[in-house]
Amino acid sequence: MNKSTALTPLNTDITTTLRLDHIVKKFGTTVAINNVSCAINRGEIVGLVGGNGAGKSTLMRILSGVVRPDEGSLSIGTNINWDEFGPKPARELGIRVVTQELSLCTNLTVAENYFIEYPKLEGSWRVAASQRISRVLADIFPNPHIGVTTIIDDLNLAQRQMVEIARAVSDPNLAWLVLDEPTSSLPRERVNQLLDYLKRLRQQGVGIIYISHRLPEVLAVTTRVVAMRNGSTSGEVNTVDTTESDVVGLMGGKVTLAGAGVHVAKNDGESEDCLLRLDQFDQGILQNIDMTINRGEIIGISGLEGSGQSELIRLLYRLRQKRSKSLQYHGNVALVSGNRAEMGIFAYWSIAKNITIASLRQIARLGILSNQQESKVADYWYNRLKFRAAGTDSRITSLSGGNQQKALIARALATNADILLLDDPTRGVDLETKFELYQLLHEWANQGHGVVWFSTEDDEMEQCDRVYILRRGRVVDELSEGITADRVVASAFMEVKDEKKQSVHESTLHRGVGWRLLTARWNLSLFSLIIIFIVMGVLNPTSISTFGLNLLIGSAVPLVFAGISQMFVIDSGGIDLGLGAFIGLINVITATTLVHDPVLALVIIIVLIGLYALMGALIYLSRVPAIVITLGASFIWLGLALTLQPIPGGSSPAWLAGFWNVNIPVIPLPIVLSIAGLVGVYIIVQRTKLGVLLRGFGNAPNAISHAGWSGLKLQMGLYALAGTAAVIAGLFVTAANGAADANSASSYTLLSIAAVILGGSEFVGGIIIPIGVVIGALTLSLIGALLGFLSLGSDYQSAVEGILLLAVLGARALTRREEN
Amino acid sequence: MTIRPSVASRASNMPWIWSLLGSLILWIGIGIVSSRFNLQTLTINATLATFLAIIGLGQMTAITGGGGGIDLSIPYVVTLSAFLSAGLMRDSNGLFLYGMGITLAVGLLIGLFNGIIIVWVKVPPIVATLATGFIVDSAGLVYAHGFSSSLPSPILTNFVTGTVAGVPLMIVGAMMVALVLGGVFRKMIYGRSLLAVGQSNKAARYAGVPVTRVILISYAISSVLAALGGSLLGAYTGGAFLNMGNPYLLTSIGAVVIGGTLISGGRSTIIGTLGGALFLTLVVTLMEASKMAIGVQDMVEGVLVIGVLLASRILPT
Repeated sequence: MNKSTALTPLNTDITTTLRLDHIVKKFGTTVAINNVSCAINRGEIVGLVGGNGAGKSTLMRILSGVVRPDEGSLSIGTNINWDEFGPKPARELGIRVVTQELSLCTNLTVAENYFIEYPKLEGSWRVAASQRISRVLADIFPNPHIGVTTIIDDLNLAQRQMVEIARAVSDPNLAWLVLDEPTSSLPRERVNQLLDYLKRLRQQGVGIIYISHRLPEVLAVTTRVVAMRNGSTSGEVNTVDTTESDVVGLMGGKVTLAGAGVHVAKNDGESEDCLLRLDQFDQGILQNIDMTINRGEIIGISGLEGSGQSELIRLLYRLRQKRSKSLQYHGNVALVSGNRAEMGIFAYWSIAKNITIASLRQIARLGILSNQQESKVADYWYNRLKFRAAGTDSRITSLSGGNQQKALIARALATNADILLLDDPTRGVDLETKFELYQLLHEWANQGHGVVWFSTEDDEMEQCDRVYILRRGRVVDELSEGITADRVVASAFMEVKDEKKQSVHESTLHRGVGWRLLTARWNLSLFSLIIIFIVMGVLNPTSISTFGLNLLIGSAVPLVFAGISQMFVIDSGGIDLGLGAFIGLINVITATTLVHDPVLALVIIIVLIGLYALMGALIYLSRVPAIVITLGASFIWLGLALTLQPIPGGSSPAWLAGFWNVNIPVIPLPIVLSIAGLVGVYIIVQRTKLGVLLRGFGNAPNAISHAGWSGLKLQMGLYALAGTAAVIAGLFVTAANGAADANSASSYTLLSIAAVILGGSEFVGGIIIPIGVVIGALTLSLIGALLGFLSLGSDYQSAVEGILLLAVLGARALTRREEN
Repeated sequence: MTIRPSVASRASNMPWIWSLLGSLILWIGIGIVSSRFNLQTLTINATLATFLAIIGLGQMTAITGGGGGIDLSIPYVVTLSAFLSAGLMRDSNGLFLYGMGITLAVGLLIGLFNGIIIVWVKVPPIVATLATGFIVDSAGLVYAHGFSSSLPSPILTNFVTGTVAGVPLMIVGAMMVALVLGGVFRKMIYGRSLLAVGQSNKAARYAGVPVTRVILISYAISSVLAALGGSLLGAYTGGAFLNMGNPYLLTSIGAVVIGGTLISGGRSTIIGTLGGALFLTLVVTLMEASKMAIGVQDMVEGVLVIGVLLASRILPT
């Protein structure tokens, strides 16, 4: 056994058993977990297998504390009280779950992601985190080829998976490890390394649950296999006593939905009209798909989860107006999604409006809707689909999942489209509605329509005339005649012999500084800045002198700090529309109160920063968009400033005014001070623990809070930082203007947003780049000076700013399109 | 068995009721402060509010499309249009249609430009309209500086100050705009589609709604209404002046959200936006009547906007 391993489980009692007893979990009317009991000992690897939607993932989410079951108990030595259970207590008990949705913050480095989960590091935390994660990575995956200072965004899926696994197993407290499809994106070599490692981990007394569709792996590594089906355990067997086909048999179980009295509408071959033909169709994950759909047919699309089924259905809809050789439509198309919340219902509307939205032209004349026609259509489908509701005027959100789904089906059927695409339409739908739906689909097909049906429930494939099985975006099998769920499952799990080996590119993405500079997100605006400098130097050489620079950059400094302030708010996912007014308020305070009563001024400023933090808390707790709260706040800031100083006046404190006139040997003082301030910001954002958390919070708030951090505190921290930067901006405004004017900084609100975006930061994803903001702000400020030299006049300044902003964003959009 | 909806749940179906109730209270407040109750205060304020109402209805249309939809170019369009209409009409009735037509066409182009950047270049609306706004701002400045002071057509000036049967024509005009837009939102395919897109862009896409075209048009409507509002405002104030549109950035958004339109899109109320505009106008009048310092007035306005928003979150919907 490798001695270098960092793992020494603290729970020394390795005779404990983790026991789930009689677990029941319902989502609405759907029973996801139906009375499941299972136990696992320390030092054991249990394989958990089952078809799609068997309940494996839900069971593991219960174990990780994310989902609370309706009934049943969990015990590890002692019984656990569900009220005291959650993601954090689960981790304290030594339970670690690696899910399919990775929980890494993609804007942080590998080492920073490690830090978020293990903040208690001695000495230099950055060095310590880097050492630990690279040691664990190398321990599991020899020669991992992953630079620990690489941003997750620059890693491929396999590398991300490796990091995720390494981060979970490096928990010193680790006693129970759950891996949900850990090898779905790993190349073979890495898979073998992981399996070897798990065997070692097992010998150290860790209990492991290994969930996978890949049966050879399950049989190679586990000691016991538990099969699940439809939310229940359907069998259990010792690995040494079993074979792949036995396990498939265990998962197959009994088909409960068969013989529902529904007879499959056979296409008797009389009508040969083909509605849809795919001929070597390639797009995205889908490769080389051949498929035909004829009138009167119900076509099933199945396969292991994530094989491209849903993508296929959605593409067939999205490309409906394209004409190409590889994809030929001979009819129009309608789609029904089972993801009702995200892609289905219109939540503020009645059943009637939800039904008619796809066929508005049928109920309108010259673009004007007819109420009469609308109720006619709605009533017809309402009765035909036997809705259980108070009428077509009932709001859609007041319905059960099954009835909502009926509305979506009615919507698609009302279009009378030739081809009906179903994207897992019975997800979370009650049994009765399912049967009604099956019947409806057969009637629909009998009327000469075609149905393409993707379902995660293998049983439903029995309703189909033909079933295409997908695997990694390819059609690997086509079933017809006597389709059973067992055959579908067996075919989906079949290891395809001629499957191309997925070559996963494992280049070292740890690149040099030069490369980073070249590809940095802010280089477009840096480029503009340099051009502006050169043009200015040519037009007016004195502008590049110390004095000239002082003057030029001096006027840019307030905007730089305004941009930094805006950047912090943007990191939190908001926008501060009150920033200009706030800076104006600081300008007024520093040019009036600060002159007479410095202590009072200081107190006011600290209170104002506190108010900023409070505003952040208000936005976080009320979930009212930041844009409107800060808009309201802008009136308050302006009002305060006007109350203090109704008309422009006051004066800058002598020491502050002096800033502009002091030249330390060569470099002017304002530049020195602002560089010092910016270095401070850079260090906070890029180098400190707080900065890591703040950026991570902007990227994946849930990952941060599951790791035990308070989102509220982080949000308040961001707003406090934003307030502080705005105070500095206000000080510089006063130093530059030498007077108090409540409206002096109003233009900074919009300019600061422009500076942040020019600098390469993003509205979403926690991508904030202090140096980019500086460059963006400098660029925007110097445009004014440049136009002056070109004697174009200041009238054109905003236009140039606007065009520059659009040009940079346009260029960025183009490069992004090329990357995809 | 019929269930009688409670007062609260009825009110939640009519989010616009609050802005109208608020306006009523303010009107009474003004009456108390100035110890003079009359309908005239209401009509005067309503006339003042019509400009904000027209501009706010445009903002509302942009917001309705959801996805962070908002139009920050409005204040610049207002200013440019005021200058443009006056400059083109040159105090002549004969040039009225020409001046108005060109002004609205420029508004339309600006709106389409906004829409194109948002829909095709996929720039977030807040930045796209900001950038467009910068360009329009410059256009306004350049035009204004080459501008020899002139007035809009007398027709227009008479319209904005005139009355019919004691009712200011501006109120009639704003009502017409509201009715037309109301028709679009309630009765037309376009309005239905826009509300769908605002509720769920993805669901609308998969229901076959032409999402990109719908969003594009929403920004066109916003800019055209801003241009209309700007021309009328220019006529009302007796000529255009620089930065005259600036207050409308904040107040147009304020009127929309106070009126009960969801800032996240998908649910809008035209009556509410009218009420929000009236409310914000009455707030200013009340504060002026009570001789409140200008700074305090702003603070009260800010507290009101935030208070209304928080209240709308806490009250059941």
